[in-house]
Formats: sequence, structure tokens, C-alpha cells
Amino acid sequence: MIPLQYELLLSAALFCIGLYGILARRNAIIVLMSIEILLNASILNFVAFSSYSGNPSGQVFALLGIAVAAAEAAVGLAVFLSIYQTHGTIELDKIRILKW
Amino acid sequence: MIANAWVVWLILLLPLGAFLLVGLIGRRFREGGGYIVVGAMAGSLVLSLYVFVQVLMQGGLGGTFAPETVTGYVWLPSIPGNEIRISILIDNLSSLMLVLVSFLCLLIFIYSLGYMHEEEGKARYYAEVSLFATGMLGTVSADNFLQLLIFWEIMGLCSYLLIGFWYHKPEAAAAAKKAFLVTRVGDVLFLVAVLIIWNEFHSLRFDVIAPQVGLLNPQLLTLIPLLLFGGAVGKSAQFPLHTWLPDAMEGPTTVSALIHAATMVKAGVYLTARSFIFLVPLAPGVQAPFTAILVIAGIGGFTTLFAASMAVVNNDIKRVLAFSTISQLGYMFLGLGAGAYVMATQASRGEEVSSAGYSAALYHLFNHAFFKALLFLSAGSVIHAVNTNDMREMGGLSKAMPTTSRVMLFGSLALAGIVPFSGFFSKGEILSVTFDAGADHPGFYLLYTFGIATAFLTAFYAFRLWFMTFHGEYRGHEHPHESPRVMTAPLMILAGFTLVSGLLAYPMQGFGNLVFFERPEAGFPLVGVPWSHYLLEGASLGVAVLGIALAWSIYATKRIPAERFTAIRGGAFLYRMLTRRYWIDDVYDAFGRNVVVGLARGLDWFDRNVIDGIVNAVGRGGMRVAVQSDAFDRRVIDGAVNAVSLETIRTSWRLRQRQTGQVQSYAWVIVVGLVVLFFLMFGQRLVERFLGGP
Repeated sequence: MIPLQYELLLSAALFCIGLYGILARRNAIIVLMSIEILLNASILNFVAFSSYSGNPSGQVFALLGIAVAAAEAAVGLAVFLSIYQTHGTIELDKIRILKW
Repeated sequence: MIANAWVVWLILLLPLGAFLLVGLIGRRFREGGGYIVVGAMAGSLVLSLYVFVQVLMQGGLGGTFAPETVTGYVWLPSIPGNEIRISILIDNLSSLMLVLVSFLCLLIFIYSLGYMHEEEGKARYYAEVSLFATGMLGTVSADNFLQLLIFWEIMGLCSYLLIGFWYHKPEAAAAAKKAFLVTRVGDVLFLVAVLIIWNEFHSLRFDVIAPQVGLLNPQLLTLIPLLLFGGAVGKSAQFPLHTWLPDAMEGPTTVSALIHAATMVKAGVYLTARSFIFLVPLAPGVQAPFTAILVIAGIGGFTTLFAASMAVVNNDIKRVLAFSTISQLGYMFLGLGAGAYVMATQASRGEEVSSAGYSAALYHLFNHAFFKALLFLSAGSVIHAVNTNDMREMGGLSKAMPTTSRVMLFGSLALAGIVPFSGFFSKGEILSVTFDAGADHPGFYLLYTFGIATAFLTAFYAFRLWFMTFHGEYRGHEHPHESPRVMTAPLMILAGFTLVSGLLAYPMQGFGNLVFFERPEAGFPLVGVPWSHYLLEGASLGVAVLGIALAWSIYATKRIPAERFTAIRGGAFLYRMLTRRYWIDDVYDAFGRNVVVGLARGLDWFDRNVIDGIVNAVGRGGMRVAVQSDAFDRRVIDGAVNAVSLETIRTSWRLRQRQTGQVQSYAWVIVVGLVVLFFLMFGQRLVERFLGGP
């Protein structure tokens, strides 16, 4: 049985990696992937606490989270495709139309 | 009770309706609507006669007719019972005046059809005389002082308009203005009297006031009739407000006859007669205002001689008659004054009162209206024929104008007071009453000598006029001809009345039996009077004959040349003084030019320098305050507002910089915010955990 602390530390590490990716990388695809990592970090937290407490509802949430993440990835990729068609790039620092 | 009393309204409304009709669309009618005006006036005369006959039948003679008021609509609302209404008073005096006025108006309107035939603006003339007739009828039938004043002012307006009928002539325009302004002096006094009366009695009706006069304090009892008399002095052209009447002769002769001889100028006498309720308050223990009575008699007596003396030297046929009118009006005031004095004295002694002076004055008013209208209309007929007013360019007209010369002789005899013409009866009565009053106050003996001297002068100037006009050779350059029948017919009717109006007193058993104050007096003229009265009547008749004889020898036979009088120094001076009208007009003019204009200049200077200075200073001060206020507004108020808005803009600018459109920078902000929040929530616990707290 893996101790809860290890699982939480792994989850925190994944969260930090995802956060770094979101904040630091320019490529929109990488940012999207970082968001997936972030989500998975939180899902791992659900699973860890579920097995620790013996309550299965955390695992149900994990499945729900995976489904939401898949939908989010699909919408995100569609948005990026559309942006690429209109702007010719998906570098986030070049896309600044949401500006005053 | 008067049957069909509502018809009295028609007496006023007929001429008023004619005024409106002719005034609006008179040009479309024949003779400028003259026939309409004549018809309306004839209607008024018939109705006036209807009322007058009823008054007579119901005991108007002998005084058993109770005065009646035909109540009209409310003019000024007030406490119930005290409202001022337009009502018509029917008593002996007003019903007689209604007949007199409508009769003379009718005759003069008919005469106008001939006299004004060739004039431009006839419609205007007929409209104005018709309105005037309304005014005069309203004046003599008013039952309160305000209504009297209203109609009185209507007459004043019409007088102004008609004197200025030929407004393109500068003299006529000036005369109209003069008449209006001079009478205004009196009208203001009248108005003040009305206000005082209202203040004292809370009513203006004669019948309401009369029983309460005794409650007045003596000062007001003197003041009110004097103020009313002030109005009468203006309207009736008595000294010192007489100057407008001779100039008023610039109007058409018919206007002079109607307004400035027969009717309007009599309104002053009528008003003074109505103010007998103040002059002779017959309540026990009330002292009559003797001062006021003496002033009235004094001004009347003085004016009568004063005006007659100016008539003697004038060469303008109408001006002679104008001065004569002033003089005869003076007689009426003298009669009223002397009568009031006698009556008040008798009352104070507790004797039976006699209203002889009152009825004598109104008798003279009645007679004078006929003979002076006749004289003016005859003069008009002459002027119509020779196209001048100057008697020096007349003469010998009795051949060309036999009717006119004969009727004018009748008028002159009446004016001179030769028996049996009307002037003899009334003038004699006035002089007798004045002489009788002398027993109570010696001043009346002086006034009597004025009166008798005037009787001499009157006869003299009347026949000077007649001889200069009709006797001798014609001195002008026209071709005189008799006037048309439409003009001579009214003249002949009036000539008849110069005989009849005096003798009418016999069937009435004395005029005092018809028109009286308080007590009727039956008695045939010259019958059953004290022997002294026969002497007095004889004296006035004697001086009149002397006057005529003097006029005859100077102007007809030329046995005494008039130049002999002006050759001596005193005579020349007197002549100059009389032709300059005692310099009174000059003094008034000088007063106007120097005092009034000087005052106006002074006020103008004051206005420009002081008032305007103050105004400008205030203005400048205001400007200065405004500039300061403006600066404060701009700097402080606007500054605050602008500062707020500028700061908002600056802040928004700074905040805008943060909205870069870079999603990742937003994410950074979120992360940093979360971290900060986390530390705020849990920071203390973390520190305690790791650094070892309690």
C-alpha cells in the first residue's frame, strides 16, 4: 500500500509541472497538454483520498473528470484550429486581440 | 312707480348702439350713418319724454314723486348691499335732464346733417357724438358717484376727440390736448372725492349717503364738496381751469353747441347740484360747510364777470360765445352757492328752508342750454356761409340770411335777459337769491355787484356780436347765402324754446316746483315776491337795456367810436389785458414751459446722473461679483470636477495597461492571487507549525 503522502506529493508535483507549462510555454498545444496534466493531478488526488478513506465516490469523480478533460481537449483543439486559420499561428504571445 | 321702468335702459343703449354701428360700419351708410344716429336719438327722446311724463303725472310737480332707482347689474362687487351697480336714478332732476339732453342732442344731430354734409370723416363724427350722448345721458341718470364719474370721463374723451376732429390742423390738435389735460386736473379731484366718500360711507349712492352726511366730521364735510366742485370747475371751465373752453372752439361748431355749451359743461353744475347733500346737510345739529359754499359762490361769481369781460373784446364769433358760456356757467354756480348759503343759514336758525337758489341755477341751466345751443348753431350757420370765424369780416348778413339773423336775435335777447325771453327769468332769480344771501353774509353783496355788472356786459357783448355780424355792410369776400332747411329748422325750434323755456315756469307754477332740493316751492315767477325782488329784476333788466344801447351806439350807429376807448392809456392797457385773457394762458404756458419743463429737466438730470449712476454702480458691482464668482466656478468647482474626471481617466489608463490580451499573464495574476490568498488564510498556521508556536 503506497502511503497517502507519496500520492499527494506526486499529485502536487504534477500540478506544479502543469502550472509551469501553462505559465511558461508559448505553444497553445503545450499549454493545453499542461492543463490536462493539471486536471490529472487533481484527479489523482480524488483517487488517492478515495482509496485512503475507502469511499468510492472519489473514483466516480475521477471518471467524470476524465470525461470532462476529454471534452475540454476536443473543444480546445477546435478553438486552436480556428485561431490558426484566422491568425496563422498558435503562439499565445502573438495572439493579443482580447486587448483594449 | 314708473311703469315699464326697463325702457330707461334703452335711453342709454340706443345711442350706444348707434355709436357701435356707426363707429364700425358707418361709412357704408348715407351721410356716414347720420340718419341712424338721429333715429337713435329720437328714440331716446321719446323714451325720456315717456319717463318724464310719468314722473310729472305721479306728482313730479309738488314733490310727491318718490325718487326711484332702476337697479342694474353689479359693476364692482362688494359686501352684499354695498355693491356698486350701474343703475339709473329717476327723480325730478334726472328725468328733466334726460329730456333736455336728448332733445338738444336730437336737434343738433339733425343740424349736423346739413352742417357736416361736405366733411370727410362724417362716420367718425357721428359715432363720437353718439357716444357723447350716451355719456351725457348716463351722467345725468347715474345713481351713484362712480357711475357719474365713468360717464363723465366718457364725455371727456368724446370732447377730446371732437375738439380734435380736424386733427390735421395743429391748433385743433393742441386745443384737444389742452381741453383734456386741463379738465383732467378737475377729474383727479373728483376721483379723490369719490374715494373719500367710499371710505367714509362704504357706498356711493346718493340715496344711501344723504341720510348719513351728518356723521361726517366737519373737515371732511367741507373737503368732499370742495373736491367735487374741483371736478365741476374743470368740466364747467370755471376760473382757474377755464382756459380750455375758448380753445375748444377749434372743433366743429355743432360740437361747440352740443358739448361746450348745451350739455357737457353743464355736467359740472349738475354734479354741484347733486353735492347739495353735502353742502346742505339738513340733519339737526349738523353745521353746514359754509366755507365750501362760499368758495363755490365766490368762484362762480368771480368767473361770471371775469369771463364776460374777455368776451367783450374778442372778434372770433365762437370765442365770444365760449367766454359767454363760461360766464353763464359762473352764474349757475353763483346761484347754487348763494342758494346753499341761504338754505344752510335758514336750517341753522331752524326756519323753513327755501331751495330758491338751487332751482334758479338749474332753471338757468335749462334755459341756457336752449339759447346757447341756438347761438352756437346760428354762429355755425353764419360760419358755414362766410367761411370765417372773424366778425370783422362779417356784417350786413341779415339781408342774405334773414332766418339766421332773426333766430340769433332771439338767442341774443335771451342771453341778454330781456323780458320775456328765458334768460330774463332765470338770471333774475339767481341775482335775487344772491342779493338775499347778502343779508346773511355781506360777501354776497359783492358777488351781486359782479352779477349785475356781468348782466350789463352780457347784453353788451351779445349785441356787439349781433350788430357786427348782421348789421351794416358786408366786409368779407364771400357770397353769403342762407343755410339749408335741415339747419334752419332746428334753429327755429330752438328760437321758439328761448321764449317757451322761460315761460314754461308759469304752467309749472315755478321751476322750483319741478326741480328742487328737499322742498318744492310753488309760485309763479314774478308773482307774489317781495317788492325788493321787483327792484332787483328791474335793475338787471335796466342794465341789460343799457348794455344793448351801448352796443347799438358803438357798433350799429357808430356814434361812439370804439377807438376812443383804446386811445386813452388805461383803456389801451385794459384792452390789451382782455385780449391777452388776463395773461392767464400765458402764465400757464410759462408755467408749463419753465416750471414743468424745468422740473422735467431737473428730474432728467437726476435720473441720468443719480439714478442711472446708482444703477450703473450696482451693475458694475454685480459684474465684479460675477467675475469673481466665474473665477471661483472655473477654478474651484470645475477644477474639482475635472480633477475627479482626470484622475478617473488616468486610473483607467493605468488599469488598461494591465489588460494585455495575454492569457498567460492573466494566469500569472490568478496564481499569484491564489498564493497570496492561501497565505492569508493559512499563513499563520503554517508559521506556527513550522517555527513552533504554542
